[in-house]
Amino acid sequence: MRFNLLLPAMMLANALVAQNSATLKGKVLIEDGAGILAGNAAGAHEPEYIGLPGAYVRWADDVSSTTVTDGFGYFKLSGAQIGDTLFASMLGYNTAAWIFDGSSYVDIPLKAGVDLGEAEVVERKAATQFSLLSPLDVQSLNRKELAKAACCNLSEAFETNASVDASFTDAVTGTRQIRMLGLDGKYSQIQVDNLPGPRGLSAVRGLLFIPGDWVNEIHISKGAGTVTQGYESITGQINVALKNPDTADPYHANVYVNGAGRKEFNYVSRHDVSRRWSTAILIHGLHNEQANDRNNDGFLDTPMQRHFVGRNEWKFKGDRGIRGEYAASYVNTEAVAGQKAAFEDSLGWRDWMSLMETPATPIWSAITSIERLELSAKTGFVFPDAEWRTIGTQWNYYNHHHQQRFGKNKYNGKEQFFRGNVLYSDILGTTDHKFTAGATYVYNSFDESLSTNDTMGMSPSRQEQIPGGFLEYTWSSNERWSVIAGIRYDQHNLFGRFISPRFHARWSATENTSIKLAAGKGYRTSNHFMEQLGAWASQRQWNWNVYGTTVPEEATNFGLNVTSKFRLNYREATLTLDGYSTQFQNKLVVDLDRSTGAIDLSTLDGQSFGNSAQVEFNWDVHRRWDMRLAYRWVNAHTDRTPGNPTLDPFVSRHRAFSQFSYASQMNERKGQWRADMTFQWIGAQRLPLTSENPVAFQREAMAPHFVQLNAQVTRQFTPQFSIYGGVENALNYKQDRPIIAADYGMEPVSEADFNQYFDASLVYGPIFGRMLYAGLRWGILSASEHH
Amino acid sequence: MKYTLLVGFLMIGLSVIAQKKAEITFEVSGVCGMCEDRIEKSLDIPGVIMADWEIKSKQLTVAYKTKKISESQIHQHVADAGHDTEKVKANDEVYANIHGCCKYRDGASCSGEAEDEHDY
Repeated sequence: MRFNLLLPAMMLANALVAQNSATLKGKVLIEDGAGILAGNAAGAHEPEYIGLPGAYVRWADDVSSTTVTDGFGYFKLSGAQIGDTLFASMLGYNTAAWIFDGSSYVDIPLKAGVDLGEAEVVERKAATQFSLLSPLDVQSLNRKELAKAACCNLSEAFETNASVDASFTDAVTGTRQIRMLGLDGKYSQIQVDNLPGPRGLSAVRGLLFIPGDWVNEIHISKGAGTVTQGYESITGQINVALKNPDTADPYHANVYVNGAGRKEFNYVSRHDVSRRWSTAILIHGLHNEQANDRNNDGFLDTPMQRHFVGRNEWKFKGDRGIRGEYAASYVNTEAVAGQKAAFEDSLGWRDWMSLMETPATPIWSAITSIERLELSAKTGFVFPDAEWRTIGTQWNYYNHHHQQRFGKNKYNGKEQFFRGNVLYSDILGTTDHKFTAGATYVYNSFDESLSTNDTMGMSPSRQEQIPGGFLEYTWSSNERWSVIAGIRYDQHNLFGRFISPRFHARWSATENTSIKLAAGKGYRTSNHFMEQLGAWASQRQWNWNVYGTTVPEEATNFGLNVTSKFRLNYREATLTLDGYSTQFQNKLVVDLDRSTGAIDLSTLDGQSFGNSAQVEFNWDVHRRWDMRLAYRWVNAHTDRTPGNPTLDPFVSRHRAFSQFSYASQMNERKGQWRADMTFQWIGAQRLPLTSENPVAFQREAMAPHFVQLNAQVTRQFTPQFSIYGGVENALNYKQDRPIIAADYGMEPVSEADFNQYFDASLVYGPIFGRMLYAGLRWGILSASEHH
Repeated sequence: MKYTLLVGFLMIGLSVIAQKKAEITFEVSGVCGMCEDRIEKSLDIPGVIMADWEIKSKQLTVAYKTKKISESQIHQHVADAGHDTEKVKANDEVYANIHGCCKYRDGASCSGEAEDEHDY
């Protein structure tokens, strides 16, 4: 709630302005006129402001600096130091606090009402929230929860979450794939600020483009989800709300280093440019050129990479209910992995990247380069006399270019995506009956090529054009019941009509227990090369048994959730039980079992399903202790050939999860110690068959179960500054001989054997072993940031 | 390993539950969410299991271990933070130092934005 007229938007430098004391001029304003609708964040009227004479203005730490605004509301204060807090107060208005950021002029609006004050700090709010009222099975993770795994990008943010499984990074791609309800992450619709996120060619790697430090909240919704955002949700929707001009702190910076040589830097700031425009700047850099080979197999345990992501978002709050959000993001990633011998110290990064074109055979190396540009625009309009009536438009464009060479396989993929989505929301008579209707148009083009030395290459390309429309109805006239029913119709230019009905209902059996039902249908089109990214790290050859180049995948999902909040030993506790079932009507079947030298692709003939169940118990044990216990069961099978169901590989049937968090009492400077420990047990996972290999190159049919212990300690000196350190995989569990046909010192591997049997994709557990990390967070917080 | 942890945890849980406990509810003067924070935080002390003050009703519910803390000590702790209870009045000096919007004796009233319903 501060407006800063003169600060140029992109002036990063003003954080660094020397700490000389300066003079600040400004104006205290109040909203003019009545007719201001209270409280609704969607906003209704944009108020006009007038100056407020006679208001008190002072520096928070210096009562003697108090001054009074003149007849037009203006004031002048000297002794300004960056980071100082300014208080503006007037009887009958909420006191406003504003942090001096080096600007010379500030507009401070006061809101009518009695001050809740700067000290309205919510020190203990559960980090993971379960909603009893929403018909959707949504779990919301806030920044506090995300800070428990002080790492690094979205694929790693789920380590502390029981609902989403994060697979283990293979040694080559450095990507953690996620799974929901036991199925690959590609069947979840991942969105960023309600716009399409990782999908298409970036379905797996795209999680790396979202730095954890940029995230404000993550909403995980299991089951079909809403129809307003497209047909692509099958197992659930994950919406990542990034820090934006409203939610970001004025300045925030984070530095992270870990024992694998990874160094990260994050910067987020927001600037109010005028009363209507504000902007946020987000920067992420990652650098890792440490060659790790702890298991001495000659292969790097972690990829070396250089990674940059930048984003700039502008927010517009106009008069008469117009709102706009406009953002541009840019990603540039370069990564190298493979046999250590390919990356001699005498060569530099450019030389390593040049292995993309000129591989140093017979040494196996994997080089990746990604460039991506993304633009989005959202404009919304709230009708002035009817805050329930809104029109929203969402425009989204990206251009994605992915190049890689893994061994002999050279890949070049380009994707262009454009989506326009128009939504109209209104009520039917009363707000008990709401609906959203809209239309979507998607253009998505893919241009890929694969070339190998041995065989003919292939260059699939396709253009998808999908106009569609949707209608969603929400009924909430009864406290005990609410229902969301939606249907969408999309006409796909290659695959005909996609009809996606979705249904969600909530029944509150008691005030503290609700039962939710979800059912729905979803579709997606497959991109086999990029979805099977891990399989590239092998000598397997693509074996295509499908007519065409892509499969329209289709699945239905049913689920039931029971959430109950109660008190245990006087303290709040939540128990959640859920069960979901997904049935595929069509699917791209990836068969790694028929031959260790092939990746067989085919359309589904027979059945494929995933069933899952989960129990999760959260308990606020003590004033300073929280705990979470969870158990998850999954049974996922796919017919490789009709009537021959095979357990999906790399899925553990059982997983048990526990987390304990401690936060000390805050001292007078709001300093605090926090500690988090996550302990989990991951059950056996099926590995693709290797029994046709020579004995030395065989692996178990089922991977052993194992445990993972992560712990972290944070020392918050003040809310502005904290440091943290932690350990991942503290018990140092390592997958035994992760790479087939690598030299584990038993017998030398001949080049012919390597060329036939090499496979680094059979990763079920950690490769690197125990890893320590440390970091710090610094920021200037806004006064109202604790809401 | 996991079983040890689980069993260990259950034992801690049982020993906690086995202690003698009481729950009391009484009125505490206050105005806003900021007062709520202050009141509940004043009972962030050993012996108190849970403290929850409701803005609307001004009722403070406290669960505590009777061997470690007494009812009158609980009242005293709240009053020491600047809030009058049914039994103990806050002294004027402490009261003078609480934030302006919390001055319940001087008719301050709240615009009612009490978002955090979470206990201490």
